[in-house]
Order: sequence, then structure tokens, then C-alpha cells
Amino acid sequence: MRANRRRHANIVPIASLATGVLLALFVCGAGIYCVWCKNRLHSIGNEIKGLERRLVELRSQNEVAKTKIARLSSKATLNERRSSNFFAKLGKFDDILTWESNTSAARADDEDVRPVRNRSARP
Amino acid sequence: MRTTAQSRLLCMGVLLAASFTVFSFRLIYLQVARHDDYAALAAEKHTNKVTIHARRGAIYDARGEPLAQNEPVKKVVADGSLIKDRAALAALLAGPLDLPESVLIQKLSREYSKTESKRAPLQYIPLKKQVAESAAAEISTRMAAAKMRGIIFEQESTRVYPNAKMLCHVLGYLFGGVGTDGIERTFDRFLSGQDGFRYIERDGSGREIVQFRGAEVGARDGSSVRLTIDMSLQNIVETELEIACRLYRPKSGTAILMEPHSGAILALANFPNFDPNKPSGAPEDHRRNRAITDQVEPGSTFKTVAASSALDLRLVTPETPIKCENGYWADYKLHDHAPYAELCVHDVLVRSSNIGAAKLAMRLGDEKFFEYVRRFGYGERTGIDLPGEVSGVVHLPQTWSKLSLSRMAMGHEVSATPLQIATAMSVIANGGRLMMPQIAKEIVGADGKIVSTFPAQEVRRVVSQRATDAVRDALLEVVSPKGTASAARVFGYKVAGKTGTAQKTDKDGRYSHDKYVSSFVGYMPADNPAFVGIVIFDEPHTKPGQSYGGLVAAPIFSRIGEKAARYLGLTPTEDRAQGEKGATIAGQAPLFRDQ
Repeated sequence: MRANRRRHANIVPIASLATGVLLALFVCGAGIYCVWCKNRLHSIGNEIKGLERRLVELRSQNEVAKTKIARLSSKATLNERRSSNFFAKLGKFDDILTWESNTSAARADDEDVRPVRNRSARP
Repeated sequence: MRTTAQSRLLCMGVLLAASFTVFSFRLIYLQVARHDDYAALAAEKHTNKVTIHARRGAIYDARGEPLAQNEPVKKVVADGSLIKDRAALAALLAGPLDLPESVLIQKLSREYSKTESKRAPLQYIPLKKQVAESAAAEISTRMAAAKMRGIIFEQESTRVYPNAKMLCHVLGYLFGGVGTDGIERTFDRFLSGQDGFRYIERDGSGREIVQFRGAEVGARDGSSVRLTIDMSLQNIVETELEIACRLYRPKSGTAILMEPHSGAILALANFPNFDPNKPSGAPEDHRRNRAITDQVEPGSTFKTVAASSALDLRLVTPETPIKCENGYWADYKLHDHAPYAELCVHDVLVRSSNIGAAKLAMRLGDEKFFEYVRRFGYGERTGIDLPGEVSGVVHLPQTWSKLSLSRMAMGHEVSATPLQIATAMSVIANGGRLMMPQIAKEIVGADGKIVSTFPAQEVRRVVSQRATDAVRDALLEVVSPKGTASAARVFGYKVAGKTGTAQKTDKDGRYSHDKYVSSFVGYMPADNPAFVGIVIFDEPHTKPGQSYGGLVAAPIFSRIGEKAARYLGLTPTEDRAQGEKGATIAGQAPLFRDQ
């Protein structure tokens, strides 16, 4: 009789339910976390791909610029421009500094300070 | 009733168990027995091994100026299955791709047979290779604006030589991405690097699933090669050679500047030349590096071999008199260009006496002379790091005729490359040591660390310092008003050198009287040489009797020497040109002065 009463004293098995709910929550949480991780991996992967693409683009731009600089500063181009009188066509600018090696201002004991003057069209 | 229900349940159970068993067996068969086959099939469908291309290393001159580098370009490919309006797309692409619309429409319309009755558009149609990045960007912008699809850009790279024709024979060129000539070929394994790879998985639409990347081995970019060439000197040499070739219209011309103490090549130019950016546009003949592939009879420049060898063995001194038979030695049918009764060894070189040189060689004898010729590097490759070098021809003494020794002493019956002649003159310039010519200075890895250097290499000691000093004194006088190369003088500097004028042979094997190889080889400043230079022209067109090396090649050496000395900052040691008394020789080469 005592055992039977004890059996019917708690009709709702709270402990078992709680355990079940907790287990279900854990499983759901783990599942959601797993999905989140997968999504995160996917988005990071896309991010990596994007960054790689950007890096390739930047490298390409760098190499294109380097090639352009090499072409424009090559002896062949400079010779071509000299023969086509390109530099004379540029005219004179106030901001071009020219180094004058044999001006009267040059002194043997003052090698560090080189005489320069603005090549200006103005008198 | 109960029995019937039980038996029904039993039947159902058995059926279910049987069907599950069948499915299970099928599952086990697919998952276990055929695992490898299906895994491979899946991998084939979704996994790819993609190549990570290594970037080819650059080539620089001694001062770091780029001579060869890579430019990224795009390959434009169309996916026919994504194109809706071919005519509109062709109109959009025609401008940036510089192709006619009709050609593009024809390409975009290409189809393949899916089945016998059904045809489908091709999904991979290459439209154009080596499209500039700017053009590719323009296409992308236009397509985005027009909301079109179906064009893919594949990354490629092309080799660019910014100096175009300059130094073309040294640099070489690529064919199919592989070094085919010049430095590009010799150092191909360093320049090309090593491609890497990566295993990737693709999704249904063909995009890479980055998180499932497999094994990866990165690419190892190619190393860069730094040459001994100085482009400023190269520019001087090429400019002067081009001017001379315009004037003399020779079959070919070659000029080399070489550092005699280290063997470093400072400049090397040939005419005719080609643009390595478009190598197929030039005839094969123009692509040949004549400095190492063409052999000529060295002519009088070879007399230094006989003189220095006899001096080295102490058979003669610079003052020893040599009878020169008044200009014609009947026994050997040998002429001098002027009648000399007797000349000292010093003057044999100054006056460039054929008879004197022959008599010096005869004092040495066949075996000894042959030995010295070989010691000077004739008849063997110099070992320069350029492909296609020939060894020249020096016949064995056993095969010589009665006249051979007399002819060899004046540079006939032997043949040598311009580089061999310059290297042999370096022996006189540096005090008697044969140096291996070097074209590469160092190899620098992609990380900037030096992988390998090419130090100066002495091949052997050829003659003593005493002998070279005596020859130098004579060569100094050659480049004076009373020598044969007065036009080679450079204001303010002592120049030593020797002219060479070799007759070419006709088709019938006889020496021609109107076809010459004119050359000058010398060095400056004579006391402490900064460079040895050779200028050589094959069949220059001049007035009759004007094809001498002293008249054709020497002035070019002078012009190169003058500019090179200024560029290298060599301190002038004379207040006038050598041999001049108070007068300068500004305008010494009036033919070229104002060009």
C-alpha cells in the first residue's frame, strides 16, 4: 500500500521531463551550433575567396603599373622621345630643379651643398 | 481469429524484414563493396586539381633596370550556353577586343552535337588571348551595364621587354612560355620557378567550395637574374653601332664592351637585331647572336698573339730587329702594305707588318705557336652563359701547309668569334690572365635573397705581365698619329688597340679583294683598363681601299670610348689626345660628329 501511494503521489514526473527537455535543448542547441558553424565556414570560405581575388587583382594592377613604368623609363622610349624632340615640347616649368655642377658658386670645400636653381621661364 | 491476426502480423514482419534486408544488402554493396568506385566517381565530378602557376622571374641589368618582366593579361572566353543575343554581344566586344563583329559572331555561334538530332552551344569558346587588363575591365563594365552574361576572363601573363630591340640577342625570347634563346634559355630553370597545385571541390554551379579545399602545394615563383650588362653603356654602344651600320651598310656589325679584370660583359650589341616582344616577326638570321655564333678571320688583331708569345718565351725583346724583306717575302708569297727593310718587334705591331708577324711566329715554331693560340682561348668556347656559342677554328699543326704558320700569324687560316677576340685582348689588358666572360652577375630568389653569384673566373695565365706590358706599349703607339688606328684616339685618355682587316673568301675559296671584315679591338685607359672594346663589321660598304679597320671600326670605338669614359667617370690622364702635341682631336670622327 505504501509503495502504491508513493507511485501516485507525483502524477507529473518533473525530473524525467526536465531531463528530457534538457536533453532535447542540448541536441537542438548542438544542431543549431553545427549549422551555424557550417554557415560560418561557408561565409569565411567566400570571404577567403573574395580576398584572394582582390589580392590577385592588386598584384595584377601592381605588375601592370610596374611594366608601364619600365616601358616609359626604358632607354628605348627615352631615345624615341629625344629623337622626336619630346622634351623640348614640354616647355619650361618653374618647379624643375636643375643641378649645376660647374657654377661659380660650387666650392671644393662645400661638397655637401650642391648649387641648384629654379629653371624658370621668368627673368 | 487470433491465429489469423498473428499469422498476418508474422507475414508482415517477415516481408518488412526481408525488404529491409534487401535494402541493407544494397546499401552495404554500394557503401562498402563499391565504395572506391563511387568515391572516385564523386571526386571526379566535384574535385579538381587546379594548377597554381608560378610567376616567371624578371631580368635586370647591373644597376637594377628591368630588362624583361611579366605583364598580366587575360584570355577572353565565351560560354555559349549563357549568351542570349550573340549580335549584341559581338558588337559590345568588337571594340575592346579589336576584332571584327563578323568574326566574333562566327565564333560565338559555334555549337556541338549533344545527340544526333540535337545541337547545343559550346560552353568554352576562346575569343582572344593576351588581352590587356584595361580592355578586360572595359568589357566587364560594358557587360554589367548591358546586363549581359557569358564572358569569362582567365588570368594569363605575357613576357615584356621594355627596351624592345635593345640587348635583344642577350635577353633572348620565349616561345610557348619556355625560354628559347639568350638568357631566357640559359637560365630558364631558375626563371620559370615551379608550379604548385591545389585540390578543390566545386558546387553544382561549378564554384569552388573553399571550406573543402584539399591538399595544397604552393607555387615557387621564379628567381630573377641580374646581368653584368649596364644599360647606359649598352645604349651608347647600340646607338653608335646603329649610326655606323646606317653609314656603312654592312652585312652585320657587332660591338662588345668587356671588363678585362673580371671578364664581365658590360655591353653587347649586334646588327641586324629584332624585337623580342615579337620574335616571330623577324627573320631567323636577325635573331642570331653574332658575337658568339659567327666566326670570322681575326686579321691583324691576331698579331698580338705571335708578338706576346715570342716576348713571353724571351725569344725576342721589343727592340729585337726583324727583317721585313722590303715589303715582299717571296718564299712565302707574303706582302706588307708598305715596304719595310727592318722593324723592331715593337714596330711590327705598330706598323702591322705581316712579314714581321710571320717571322715572329716562325721563331716560336708550329707546336709552340699552336699552344699559345689555344692558350689565348682561340679554338675553344669561352664558356659564356649564352646558348649557341661556337668554338671557332684552329687547325692542328699536323694539318698545316707550308704557308699556314705565316698566314696564321696575321690572323688568316684561323677563325674566331668577336667575343673570343675581345677576350684575347683582355689578356693583354689585364696583365696576362685569360678570364671567362661573364654575362650573369647573380640570381636573386623571389624572396629577395641571393641564390647564386657568378664570381670572376680566371681560366689560366697565358703570358707574363712583362710580355703584356711590352705589347701594350706597342698597342698604345698603334692608336697614335703614326699608328694604323689613329682614329681610335679618345681625348684625355690613353687608348691601346689593334686594327684588323681580313679579306673574306669568295665562293671559289680564294681571298676576295672587295669583301672585308673590318675590326678594331682595344682598351682604355691603357694604364688601368676599365673596359676592352671590339667593333667589327662584316662587309662594310666603303669607297675602294677604305675598308680598313682603322678607318671603319676605329672611329666607332673612339666615339663609344669617349661616351663610355664620361659615363663611367674615368679621370682623364692626358690634357690632349695621345700622340698629339698640344692639339685636341675633338671632331676626330667628322663623319659621325653631327649625327
